[in-house]
Amino acid sequence: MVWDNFQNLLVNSLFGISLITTILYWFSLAIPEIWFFSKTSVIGSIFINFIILGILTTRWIISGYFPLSNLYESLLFLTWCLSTIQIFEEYKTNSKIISLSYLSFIDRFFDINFTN
Amino acid sequence: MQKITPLVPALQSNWLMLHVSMMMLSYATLILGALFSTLFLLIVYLANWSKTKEINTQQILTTNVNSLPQHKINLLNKLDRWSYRTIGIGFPFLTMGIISGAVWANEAWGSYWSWDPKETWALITWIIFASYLHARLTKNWQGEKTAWLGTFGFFIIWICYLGVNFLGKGLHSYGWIS
Repeated sequence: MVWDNFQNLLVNSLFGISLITTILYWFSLAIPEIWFFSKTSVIGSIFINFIILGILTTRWIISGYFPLSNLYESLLFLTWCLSTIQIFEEYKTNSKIISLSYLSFIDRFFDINFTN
Repeated sequence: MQKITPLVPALQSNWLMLHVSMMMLSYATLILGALFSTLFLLIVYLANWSKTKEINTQQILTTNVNSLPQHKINLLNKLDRWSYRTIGIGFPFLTMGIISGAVWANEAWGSYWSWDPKETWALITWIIFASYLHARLTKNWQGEKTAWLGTFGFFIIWICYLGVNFLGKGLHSYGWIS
């Protein structure tokens, strides 16, 4: 029960943080001179990565198997993979425009999440 | 769907973890690589479109990459290179995912390949990205031509991951809303 509540908290905070991070990315692309936006957007995407990892781990603890058994769980794992590669490639290419395209996929995850 | 349920007997196997995680990793890398291609095309066409509008000539829209400003060429080179790299990583993952799926299918269903819709579309995806890599390696294609191939592959991946499930048929039915 504790883990269920914890997972719920993580899902809700993921929504908030990914919303804020998307906005920060738009700003960092529109106003590249301002140092604040480009730094905080990177921190935001790292936060997203860890929160998705947290959701995966809590589901693993609750169910006893690594969550890959249906669409919701595979989508969760897919967004985690996308987010990891996004952080890596943003670091390597030093380009913001690349990252922005991924964030829309994290939004796809919420489409599924709130349809029930 | 978010409810956590005990694993159905068909999925209680160690192959589940290997097969599904490999497929998801390959989808993620291939989607990103294909997105770079789409972005490449978008930048080339938007830049040329705005240029012809500025000059206001009646010429046919020609997509000549060399006539763009230097910072755009740098970005396009970056996108082209990273699209190739990312797809180059994703393709081995897809191959491993399909092979592990075939081995698991042999254990669980008794045959390596049964032309299930999901399997067929995974094969199509595999062929598309194989042709992408072949065009790069043996025909020295780059830039716009491979970007079109990658963009095409992007749609094929989504058909493979989500579209196939709308058929509601086949042996991969657990991957959908239920």
